[in-house]
Amino acid sequence: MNTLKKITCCCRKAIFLVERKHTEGIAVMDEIRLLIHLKDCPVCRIFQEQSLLIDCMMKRNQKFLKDKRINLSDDFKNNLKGLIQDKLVQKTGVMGDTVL
Amino acid sequence: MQIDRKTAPSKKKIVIDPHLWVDHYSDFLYRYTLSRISDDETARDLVQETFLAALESLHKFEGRSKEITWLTAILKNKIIDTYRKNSSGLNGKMRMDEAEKQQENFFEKESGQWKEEHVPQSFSADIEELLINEEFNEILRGCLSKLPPLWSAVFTMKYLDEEDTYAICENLCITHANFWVIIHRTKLNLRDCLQTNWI
Repeated sequence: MNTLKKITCCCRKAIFLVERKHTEGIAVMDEIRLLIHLKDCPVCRIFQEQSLLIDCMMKRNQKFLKDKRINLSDDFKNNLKGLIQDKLVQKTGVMGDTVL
Repeated sequence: MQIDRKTAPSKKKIVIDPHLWVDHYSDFLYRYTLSRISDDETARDLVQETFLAALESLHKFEGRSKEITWLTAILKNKIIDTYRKNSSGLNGKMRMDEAEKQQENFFEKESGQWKEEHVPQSFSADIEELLINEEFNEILRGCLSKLPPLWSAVFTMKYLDEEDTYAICENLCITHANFWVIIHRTKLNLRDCLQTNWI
């Protein structure tokens, strides 16, 4: 009974282990501790499933933003082109043709 | 204006044309920033700063990588600087205190079990469907933007950029133990926020 008590853990500890397991891996003893907890705790099983869902959504967020047509305004771009032009003139003025 | 340089020892000619940067790369860099920093004005400033910093260090570009890879690396460093700045400010600290206080309420103090009001509930939809659900993704982005800046930075670098844990700790000046506490708290917070706003 005492041994079993030693290897069980509370929900707070279990979800910490869930996170670590999926990112970095956990020690064998913690793996057993987590398995025992999850077997009897449907709530933490829901947490585990939703935690993995969030990981996948984060990775997908990157693709979503690449795909979506979110662009800078023409005004901003024109202003930026002007700044680059000024900087180039300034640079070549100071440094001459050595970088060209 | 094109800039041609010959690099020793191969004498391979590198052609860079900063005039084309805005047309070729600015939208990509803007979206890259927006997926990591939700503030639109900061994102635009960072794109601008990236181009100006690149012009300053044109001589360092050796042509070993593509122009866009080089520009993205400069931008990435600027984003990390912004993370650091935001986390150390008063606003960042206040948001962190607030979020930490809120999380103390997630579990029973003595038993470490979930408190009734924070017990995870099923999202009542298929996981595959949720992954592509526009509204659900929008809620996640909203939840991310409410996180304390340091939490958001750690989480984004880990899950979006898939950076090495030790590199994140070094870049953001946090210990390995702190890193795990932040990841743990961020996930708890995000999941709870999704549940509150979705169900």
